[in-house]
Amino acid sequence: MPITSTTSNIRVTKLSGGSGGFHHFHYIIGVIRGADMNNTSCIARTFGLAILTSTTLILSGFTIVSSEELIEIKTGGTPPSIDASSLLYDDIIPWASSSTRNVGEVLSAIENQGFETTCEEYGIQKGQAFPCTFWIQTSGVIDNIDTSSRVGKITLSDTGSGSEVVILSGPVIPGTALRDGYPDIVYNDFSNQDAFASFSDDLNNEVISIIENFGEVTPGDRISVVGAYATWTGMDSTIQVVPVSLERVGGE
Amino acid sequence: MKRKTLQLIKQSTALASMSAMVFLTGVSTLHAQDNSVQGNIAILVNSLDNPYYAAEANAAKAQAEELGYEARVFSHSEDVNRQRELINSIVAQGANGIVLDNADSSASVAAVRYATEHNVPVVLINREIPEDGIAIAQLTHNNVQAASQVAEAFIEKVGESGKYVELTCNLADNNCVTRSTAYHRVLDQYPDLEMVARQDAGGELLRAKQAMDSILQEHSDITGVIAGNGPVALGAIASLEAAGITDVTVVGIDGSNDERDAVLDGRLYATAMLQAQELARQGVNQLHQYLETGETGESEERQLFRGVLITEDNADYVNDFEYQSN
Repeated sequence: MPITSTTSNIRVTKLSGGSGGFHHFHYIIGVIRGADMNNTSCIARTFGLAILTSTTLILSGFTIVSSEELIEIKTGGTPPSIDASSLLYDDIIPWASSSTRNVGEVLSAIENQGFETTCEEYGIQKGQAFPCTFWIQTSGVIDNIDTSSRVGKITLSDTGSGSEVVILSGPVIPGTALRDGYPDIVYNDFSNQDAFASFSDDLNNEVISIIENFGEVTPGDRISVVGAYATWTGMDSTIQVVPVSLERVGGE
Repeated sequence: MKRKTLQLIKQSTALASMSAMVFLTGVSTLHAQDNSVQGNIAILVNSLDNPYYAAEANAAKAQAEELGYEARVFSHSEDVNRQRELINSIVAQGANGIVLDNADSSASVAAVRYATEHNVPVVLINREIPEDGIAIAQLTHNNVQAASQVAEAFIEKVGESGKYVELTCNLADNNCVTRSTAYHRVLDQYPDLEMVARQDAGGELLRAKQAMDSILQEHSDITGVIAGNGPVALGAIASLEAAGITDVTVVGIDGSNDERDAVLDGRLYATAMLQAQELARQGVNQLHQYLETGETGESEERQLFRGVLITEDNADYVNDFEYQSN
């Protein structure tokens, strides 16, 4: 939609947004005059008035902004972006390591004292719109590596938890467990749901690097993992973990 | 030409007068409170013909009355001018507070600010505005979470390859844009899953059916349809059924009773139920708290509510946008 402003009898019309950047806007400066105006004098006056208007706009300190910039100004600006990689390595992983619980301990607590109490005691839940996230650690033997889906899964056995533990290995990491498991990042830090989701995607992409850097694994390897387990009910048949730390156990 | 214009002006004036009378009649009753009520609350939502907004409005009204307020429900029909007129009148009539599901996120900032500046606190439900610190609270559904879970369920059913169609609900609505973006955050991670058509069905069943009818002419080999809301999903189903196609997976978001029944019948694979009633009740509670104490009782202005993934396993628990598992 054209944005029009009028100064005296000169109309400045923003015709198109192009890619949205300021330099892509085109302006038509025309003069609204009587129909009987002489063509030559009309052109001369038009040109003169266009120069006069441009000069006035520049000298008056008037700044033309794109519609995107206008929205940003009206909304008080977008909050500064948070660097997912720095936050993950500098804050989330140290925090996770210090708050982690053995998976068996968490599952026993859910069974014995209920999900809500366990979540309050061991987990993080940022309101009812988010699952409860537990930072868990366990070790076990790789039973299966499933890459048939883009949601790759490494299944561990012998974890001592009584439940099947699955490490999500990508390349698609579903969910928002890392973001939701860190208490210092909340929705209100972001301008909207989309920005909040993008931040989670960035964290999940970092996980892919962690997994790739860990190197090849094969069934029979014994590994230990620290990661985020997000759950709505604590009644899941498998414990799906988004890893932030992986180690080989016993030099294997 | 002049006569036609004059007629149009006369008609518009008459319509405007009628509209004004209709809402002023409604608003005037805001004053008609007896001594037993502790104030009056205005509840503004979109069209009451839509089951989502009806459930939201009814729940807000019931909660307000439960708390001792006189509550009146108004519909702005997604018209920002009508919303502005309604809010101006509600403010002028001395309402104690407003619960608003706004007509347009950006365009509603001024209306909310107007009410706030006239000491009428506003709680926003369902749709946020892009500015903090004006409304006392903004409660909305976690559309990203709901859409992501629906998209993941969709992939589990159709697989990681094949052709699908997206019918969006109404791309003028931020919530619909957020849902569509969230769908694609998930779906676009599967390069062998190809979106062959995408149309905006305006959130309406009939428009969705017409869009789907047209798409099927060209793409009869699709395996799935992902819809931006419930009516659109049901419209797609109607189209597929009319074409005799039974092996296409359809998913949506909203969680109306019609969707619940479609899930139970196996016609709709999954949806996410938005907790319209809970959201509305919480909005009223926070407004009440604010009127009583000057604070909502919540640490954050913007608050999200979970969408509950509904499949045949739990569809029985859905009733009027309320999940009743107990």
